[in-house]
Amino acid sequence: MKAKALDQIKRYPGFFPMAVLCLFLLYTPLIIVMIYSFNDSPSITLWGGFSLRWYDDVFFGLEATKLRKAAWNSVTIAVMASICATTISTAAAVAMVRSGAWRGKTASFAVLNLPIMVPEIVTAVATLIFFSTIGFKAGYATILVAHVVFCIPFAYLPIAARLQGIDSNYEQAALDLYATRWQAFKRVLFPLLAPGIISGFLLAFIISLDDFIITNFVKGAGVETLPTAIFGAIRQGIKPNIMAISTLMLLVSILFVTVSYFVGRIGETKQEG
Amino acid sequence: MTQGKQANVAVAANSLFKNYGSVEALKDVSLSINDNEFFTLLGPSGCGKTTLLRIIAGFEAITAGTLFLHGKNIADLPANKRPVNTVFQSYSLFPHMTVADNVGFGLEMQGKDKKQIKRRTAEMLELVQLGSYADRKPSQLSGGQQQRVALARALAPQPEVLLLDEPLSALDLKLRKAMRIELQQIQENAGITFIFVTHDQEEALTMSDRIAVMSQGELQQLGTATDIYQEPKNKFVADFIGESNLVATTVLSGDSTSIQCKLTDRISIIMPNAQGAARGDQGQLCIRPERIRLSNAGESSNLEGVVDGIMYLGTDTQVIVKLDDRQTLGVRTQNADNDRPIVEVGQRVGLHIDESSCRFLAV
Amino acid sequence: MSGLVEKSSFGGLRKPLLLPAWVMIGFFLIIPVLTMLVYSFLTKEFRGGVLWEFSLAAYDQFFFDRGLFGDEPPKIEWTYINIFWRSIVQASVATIICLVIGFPTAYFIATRSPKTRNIWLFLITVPYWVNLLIRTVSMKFLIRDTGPLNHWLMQVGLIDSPIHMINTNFAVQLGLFYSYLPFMVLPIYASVERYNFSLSEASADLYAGRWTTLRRIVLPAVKPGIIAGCILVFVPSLGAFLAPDLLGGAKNFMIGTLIEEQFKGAAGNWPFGAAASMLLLSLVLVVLLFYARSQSKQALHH
Repeated sequence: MKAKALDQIKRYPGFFPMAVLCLFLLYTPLIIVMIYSFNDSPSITLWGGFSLRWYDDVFFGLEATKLRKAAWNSVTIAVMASICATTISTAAAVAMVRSGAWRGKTASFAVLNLPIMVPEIVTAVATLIFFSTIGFKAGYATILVAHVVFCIPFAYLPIAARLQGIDSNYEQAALDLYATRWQAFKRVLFPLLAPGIISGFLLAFIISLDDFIITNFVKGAGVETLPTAIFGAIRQGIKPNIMAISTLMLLVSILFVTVSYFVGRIGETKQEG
Repeated sequence: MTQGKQANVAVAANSLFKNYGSVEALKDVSLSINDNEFFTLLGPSGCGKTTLLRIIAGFEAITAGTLFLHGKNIADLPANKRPVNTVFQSYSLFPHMTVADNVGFGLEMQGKDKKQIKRRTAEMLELVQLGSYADRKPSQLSGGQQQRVALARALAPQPEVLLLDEPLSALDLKLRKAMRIELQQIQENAGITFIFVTHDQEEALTMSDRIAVMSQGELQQLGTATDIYQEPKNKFVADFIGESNLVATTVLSGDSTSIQCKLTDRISIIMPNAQGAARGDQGQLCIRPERIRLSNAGESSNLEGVVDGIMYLGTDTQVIVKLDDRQTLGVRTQNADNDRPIVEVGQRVGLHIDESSCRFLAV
Repeated sequence: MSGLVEKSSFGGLRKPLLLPAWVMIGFFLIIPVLTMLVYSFLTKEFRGGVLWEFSLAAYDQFFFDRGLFGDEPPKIEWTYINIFWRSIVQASVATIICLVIGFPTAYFIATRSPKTRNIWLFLITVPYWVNLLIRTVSMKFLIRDTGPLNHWLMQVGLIDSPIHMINTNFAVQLGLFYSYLPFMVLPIYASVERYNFSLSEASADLYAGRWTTLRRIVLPAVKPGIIAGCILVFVPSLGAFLAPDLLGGAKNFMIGTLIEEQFKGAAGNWPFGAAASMLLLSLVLVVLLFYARSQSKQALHH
């Protein structure tokens, strides 16, 4: 009993219920939507039994073509934008973490993080105005460019964090053993940095896939991504097929975060050894 | 040891300076290191020894001065162009490569062919007695084994000079002592100049041909282990290497061979004039504690005091004696020596100082 | 000495490595923001574009009311100032709710064993990875008048008629809270995890009670995490669009919805939208500067 009393210095009654409440609040809406996506009733209020009809509707219904096109746009943009952002960020992280102290380092750090610091809606407005001023037609390309820029800090932060945890003696040992800087990067730093690069890539991918506000501003007429298509659809009210799409996207997100989590864990255990 | 053969200079540093902003890490360091020498840079942390090592390796640029390797100016050569390899303090074995890949990395980067790399890697692993560990990952090895792999990796490309940055500091005491002997043997067999950085004076004294003692970015003294122990140049060296009784003193009289220095008001000591001191010079009198012998009071000794403290140290006993003018002296007696009187605190004892081993230090 | 040395294995390649990032962000974010600044001083064109004539009309419209024909003496125009003010209030309330729920959660997680800790962290971060639009739509679905929440409350018998939640301030606050809660939990968790619990023991040893220890010892020590969390919730809440648009409806305008409206359709007013965006950006920069100040002060103390 004594040990328990001592342990209570750290503990506060009520914190555990708060944590449970926190999870409850975070998950309830998502779970409810998941459940209702299997509702057989066309009314979204009443439960009419289990059915997969809304999933069928998403894939083969009236709006299936439109949705498929939007999904294709979303995925291709996310793949390209996250690959570009990850490459750019990896180079930037190596320069920021492994090139000593220099004047302008803080400023450079601020520039790299600017896309996170500027409110999304401001970025959206600025990008729209910019593209319209230089006469660049809004569409697929403008979305892609805007996504690359917006994704840079999200890819940069995990990569730089990982790099900071890698002892610089590793690449110095490689240099000492006659490797060029490129060889030192390719053979030593890159394999050690890989988990950071993967989580940076996954984060950038999800951020691009999820983005609504910037895409909505720079997409122009005719080009839709999944979020803008969903947003357009719910303007007419929430229909059950929206819940089916939402559930599917939710599962994709959860799959991603799980993969990212385990990649991070593998990296950690490797580092410890 | 390099005695008997003509010593070729491997590394020559002239007036090296290194600044980090306003911090002076190296101040006017000049030294030359011979071929096949086991050379040690010794000093407390922050003395500049690691900085000097990293400069020789090519990881740091020098602020001023020159640096030659076998007569070639290497000051502007990047690390991967210098025929110099390093054993890092934390080993820095590439965690994603096998032991063999680690050892073969330098040769691979030099563009050696595969067969040659394989042969040399096996040879090196044999040298450090890890032949059967070639396919393991570094994380599967013990600290001592990792240390050997790091050594094999650095030796594999046959560098002109091997740099070792406190390589034993991560090992436990027993292993450290065993590795000392092994390192010396490897150095003798490989016939490569070793530059060894350590803060451990025992390590330095037991392994090195020559030692450079450093403090606050400056070279304090350079010489063999016996040199720096028996003829310390200044107070720092006398204090840092072994233990010393340092007593403020004045030279009372003397000539070019011997001088007489004041110990207490009544007693003075006559010793060799190692540093060319003259009458009236002020400085420190350095007496090694093991060069003082205790006897019973009144037994043919004109220097007497009272025992103030006793520390049992296993092989020796450290006795603190307070002289009549309140000056204290540390005395070391071997415990195996049954002839010496066993003293207790408060007892009055006589002291016999081996005067020829005492030194006067001006600074 | 190595503590003084900055790692610089790739020193010579700094510029070429950073160039792509600088070019992308400079060309497609910094220049666009400057272009937007210029736009805020241009004249509105009636079909939703701009005329390249200098004008202060956008800012004038924001702050002053000059009557229907623009010839009356200027009075302060409260409409837009009120929208800004409401945004600040909404974002603040959302931040406070996040803090009240987020701090105990973060503290609770940080005091678990490492294994349980990872599971909790995983559970807290998963919703963040779920599309914000979907999360907001889910919330809208849940709290509608005829939604599952009201339905359930009536079935249980707690209420007789549905509580009207959608299109209220409360709904917006709830939506913001729901959107950004993980941003509050994670930085607080990070600083509680670094907190040395022997300080709590020392405090208890010196006769302080648990809650006194929390207030006097723990909170000051984890303050940087709390401030970071508040900033991370407050800033995006201020410019949020989805929560006010989907949950707030027409009556509960925030800055984000106001700006968005200026760029949609013929009713749009680009200079005015640009001006409102500039004001929002300035507001955010002030908050971030305040944050940077407190950070560097913190750094000085250590």
